[in-house]
Amino acid sequence: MADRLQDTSIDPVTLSVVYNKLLAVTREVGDRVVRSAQSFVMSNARDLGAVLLDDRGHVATTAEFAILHCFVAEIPTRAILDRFEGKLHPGDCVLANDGHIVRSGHLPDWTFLVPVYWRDELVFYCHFRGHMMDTGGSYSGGYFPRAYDCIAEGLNIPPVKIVERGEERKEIFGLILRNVRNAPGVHADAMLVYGSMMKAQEDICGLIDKYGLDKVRECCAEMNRVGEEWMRREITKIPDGVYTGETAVDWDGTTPNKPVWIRVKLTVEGDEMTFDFSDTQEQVDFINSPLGNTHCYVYAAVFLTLDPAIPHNHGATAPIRIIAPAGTVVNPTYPRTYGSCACSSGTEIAEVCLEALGKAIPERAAAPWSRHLVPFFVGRDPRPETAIDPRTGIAREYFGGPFASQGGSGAVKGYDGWEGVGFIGVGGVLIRGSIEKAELFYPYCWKRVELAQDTEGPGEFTGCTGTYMELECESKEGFPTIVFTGNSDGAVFSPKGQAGAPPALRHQMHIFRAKTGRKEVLRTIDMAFAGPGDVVITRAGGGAGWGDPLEREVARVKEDVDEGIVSVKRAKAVYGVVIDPDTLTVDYAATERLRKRRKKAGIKRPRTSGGSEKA
Amino acid sequence: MQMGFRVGLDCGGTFTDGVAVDERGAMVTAKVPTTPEDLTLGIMNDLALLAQRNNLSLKEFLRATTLIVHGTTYGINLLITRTGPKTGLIATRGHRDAIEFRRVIKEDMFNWRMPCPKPLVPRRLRTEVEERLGIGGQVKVPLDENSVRQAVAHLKKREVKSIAVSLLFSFLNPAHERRVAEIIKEDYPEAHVSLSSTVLPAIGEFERTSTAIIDAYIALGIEKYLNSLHLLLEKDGFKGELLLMQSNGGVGSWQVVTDAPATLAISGLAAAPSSAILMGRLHGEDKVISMDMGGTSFECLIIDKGNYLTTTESLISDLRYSLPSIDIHTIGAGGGSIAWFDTADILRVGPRSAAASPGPACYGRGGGEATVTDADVVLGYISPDFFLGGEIPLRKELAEKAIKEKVADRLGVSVVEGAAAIHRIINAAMAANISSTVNKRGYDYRDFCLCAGGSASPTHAIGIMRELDMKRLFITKFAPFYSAFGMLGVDLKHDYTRFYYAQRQGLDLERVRKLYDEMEAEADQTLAREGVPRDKRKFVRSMDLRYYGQFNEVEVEWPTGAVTDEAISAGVANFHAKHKELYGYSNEKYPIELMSFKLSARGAMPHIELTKIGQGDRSPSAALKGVRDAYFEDTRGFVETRIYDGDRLLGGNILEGPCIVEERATTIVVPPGFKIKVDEYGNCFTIV
Repeated sequence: MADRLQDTSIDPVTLSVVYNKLLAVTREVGDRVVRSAQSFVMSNARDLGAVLLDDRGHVATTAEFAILHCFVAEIPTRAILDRFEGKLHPGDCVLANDGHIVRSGHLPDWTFLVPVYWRDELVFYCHFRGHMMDTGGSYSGGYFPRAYDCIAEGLNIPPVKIVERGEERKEIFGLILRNVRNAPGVHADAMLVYGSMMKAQEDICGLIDKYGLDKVRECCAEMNRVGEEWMRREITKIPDGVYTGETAVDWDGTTPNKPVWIRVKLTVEGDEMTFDFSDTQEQVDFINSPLGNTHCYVYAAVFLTLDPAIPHNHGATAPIRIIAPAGTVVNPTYPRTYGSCACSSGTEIAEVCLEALGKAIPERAAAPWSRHLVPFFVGRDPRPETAIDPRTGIAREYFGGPFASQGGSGAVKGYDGWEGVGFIGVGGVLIRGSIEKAELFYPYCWKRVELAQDTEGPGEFTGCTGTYMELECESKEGFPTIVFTGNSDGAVFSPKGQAGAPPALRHQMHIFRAKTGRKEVLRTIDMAFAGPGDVVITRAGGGAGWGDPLEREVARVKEDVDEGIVSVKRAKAVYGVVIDPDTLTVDYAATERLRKRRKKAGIKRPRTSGGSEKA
Repeated sequence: MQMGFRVGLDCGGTFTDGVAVDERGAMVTAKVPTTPEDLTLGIMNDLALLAQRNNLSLKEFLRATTLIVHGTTYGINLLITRTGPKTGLIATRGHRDAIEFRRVIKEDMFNWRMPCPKPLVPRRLRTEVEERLGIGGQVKVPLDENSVRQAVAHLKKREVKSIAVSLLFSFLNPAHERRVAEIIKEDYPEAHVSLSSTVLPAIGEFERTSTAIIDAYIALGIEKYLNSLHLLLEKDGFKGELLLMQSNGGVGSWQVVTDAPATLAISGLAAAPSSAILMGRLHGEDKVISMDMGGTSFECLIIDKGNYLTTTESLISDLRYSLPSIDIHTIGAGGGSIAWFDTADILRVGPRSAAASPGPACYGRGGGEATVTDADVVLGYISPDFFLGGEIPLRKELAEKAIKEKVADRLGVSVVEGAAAIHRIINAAMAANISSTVNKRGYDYRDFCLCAGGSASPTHAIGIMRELDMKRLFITKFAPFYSAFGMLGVDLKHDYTRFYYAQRQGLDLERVRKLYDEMEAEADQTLAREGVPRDKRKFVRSMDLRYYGQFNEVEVEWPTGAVTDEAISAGVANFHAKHKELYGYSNEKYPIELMSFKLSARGAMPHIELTKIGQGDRSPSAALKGVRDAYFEDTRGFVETRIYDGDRLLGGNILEGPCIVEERATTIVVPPGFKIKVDEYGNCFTIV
């Protein structure tokens, strides 16, 4: 052991062993919470993230959890250290969620930070962020627009120790818990997170005991160097230049018919790149994105486009500069609201970065995913079999949804998008809730959850097919249920395709009213009350495609038609593939003629983001 | 019958292993190549070799054989290669795509340059019927039989051979699924039918449907395979029992499992725990991690309190499989694993393998990649003249060439140092796999002993143990026949489950009684069919519990006998204890929810007794067969290393590293600073 400590050069094997162990420790922090949490979205949708930072507050390891909870870590950690540096003891746990102080993102995502001690030396920080059951405010769950200010949006928690030297600080934490709904569950989850991070400390100490602190530190430094060099090498492959991206969020939930524009200018110079959001519009309501959230979504776009095997640590982000002027949508100031940012405008920030990167390197471009479309349900359960919460003696409160209406990923060159994997912020690590389990939990009946024909993002490689959902409210009079669409966007604007692919389809949402027999439009970034018999209907557009749809392999189009994913009519209109509607056989000669004619004439292709298609 | 042979047959990817034990406990083994085109050929070859090694003809041997236990990869191969028959699905209106919306996380989360895994049943063969049940199993929309007949006609027209039926909430009320089956029987009697409410009556439409489809997909093939195997055995005089390893780690008679084909999905892997449990029992240890390292894959699983863990969240080739099955974790690491450099120039080993063809470079069959076996030869661990007892001569110079070209030159080190790096990295990969597998399940691996099985394990096991700082390692005498041997220590086991959601306070005991009456009647019927007398039947009850507000349950056992409030409370007490063990906390005042009730029905099989080897004293000198140089990390160079003949070791012998033990089909490497002792049955274990 002694000679290992003195040995300053790292052999590659030790490096691999130590780094993989730290990765495993990080992963396990989150896994334990997933298995035991009471928050529907943490337990079912893995809406959480665990990160290990070194003693300077630089990301050492991240694991397979929601992108938006992981790559934020350095910003809140810095903010917490500004208050507590030198005052963090073994066994302490800091809690914070204030988006104007820690600047992570919206209020229900609570940040927990634990200093990791080895003997009496602070060696790492363990950062956890996850979507709690509630965080106070006017409505449960935080996804409601039109709050007056950030105070109305929920409880604003500046960095505060809820545990000091292993002892829960009951007075201060009690004050917090008194101001959230489902307090017993929130408390249990917070203690679960703390316990899980303390277990990580034990594992890390074991590792250091074995390899020595210097060696472990050296390994982290070396992996950071690898991450940085690798990222620089990848950036060097991008032609120098300036590339732009632009899209909009439907609205901010307050001012109707007024899109909110997000714009980025990407400058690539040698082995560095800068994402400049200076042209993004001034801050609005509700969809503003605190700086940390903005960073996450920029990195998400970069990581999805470049080599996925880059170690995703501090080094990998070092060559990436982000300019997000204070007072814009991507870096709001007090007391602006930002309840929706985790989904919208986060998704749109990723979209504009993907667009800019796609212009620079179309061959490597990743097309945007389906925008988030997940109405959440809030209310108190009227059903006798599940009604009374035995912990509180009052009617059980439900919040959330099984993510059944979600679309999935966009295309890349060579591969179609994946259905049902969620929006880009959860990056494929989301697990949809089971309908059978959801019906036990929510007074709703999911009547249909299916792939929606003709919603794929057109392209040589198609974005995933979208989802059609119909669910009927089975609540009772006197037990109102609220449908929140504050997390959903994309009914007016849809994701753009890459490398010549047209845009994906827009989302559609409606409520069929049992009392009037009328079908009303359910807007994105909004909320509505639903009663017994009302039916919520959603039709998510798919992810965006890659390349010219007229180049799509005929066999793939035929397969999609056979599978009922694409109609015969659309096969011809969008892909130029002529298929007999009765026999479903391809007319190759007619197809070739049609494709040739279309390409030659450069005929304007049919608009595919019209938003008026019928299911 | 003079000699009652009992035979374990493990049909693996490369080799078919057989173990035969006579009634005095004398054991012979046989390893023959697997015959992928017709697996029964390899099996009959193996049986012939077992017969020969008992100095009998195949007919004499089979006539004298009372029991054959067989683990088969037939089912898993169909699933991996997707070569099963055209299979259809009948689902509730609006929910045929549940199987497409996979509830599986994507581990490589930034890499989307790969196709989305597709269900076994394409969308055009997924049909819907009009019906709907509610959360209490009540009928919300009655079954529209016309819609069923249309669905069946659709599938019949497309010449589907097998149909899975999976309707929402059928686990609470199977009436609609059963009626659909009747209609299929009327309109399309040729088709096989699998009902989700029969295969797996558990909550979760994705998991239940996926498992029912697996059942439907492998049913016809399994039936044909088992019929022809039984016929071949019968033709050669076999009159004993043919039992199959099931995914759950127990066995079932071939007739019973033919009716529940999904239980055979990972049959071929399921015998490993049995060997590890036996080793633990011999040495008074009930917490054991079993590792099995073969040519291409490395499997690890956990034995806690003398029992293996089970899971209902397996993935077989991207397909969710939710029947209770042994909780086994596999990675690509084995003797054939290939060394390579990633884009960051970091040396890695596996998961790609040179497999049996072309095999490691030293096989001399044209393989040019540097593999783990090549490294082990260069390091002096494996003798080129004694690989598989000399059956495969190895060429050391080819191993050196591959390691020089593929690894050492790029690292700027000597060939030997390159080989040492490969050896250490593959050990680290396996150690990391053990660590994450164990930690993920809430345990600390340092509380466990390690048990090494598989031909390649004994060469690496002590290195892995050291990497993990574990306290104790067993290397079984029968390591190269780990699974085949394990099969002879397995009981009949059949699992049943019923969903019933209730809070602890509102639990209706009468309803629980009814559920157990149903399950126990079903279990009795099955065990009776397998000829298990009443006094040899054992029922184990369990239930899934959680704290109010949680979404994931913990399964705990509770007492058999009368269903009383006290018995339930005993189960609740087990839950608090297990929750504490898994997650570090429990709260006896917290309200509890019950989600499902389960029964595991066991039929005891006579277990084999190991035969003792000759006993000696500490000194193994009688077994010394020579010395050669071997490389060890601690000495950073070659040292003269004693070589022992495994067959000549005696009980009580103590071997101090550095030394090597050569067995017929494996090699044990003991580095400097370690000591192993031979137990009275010929197994080795580390001592300090």
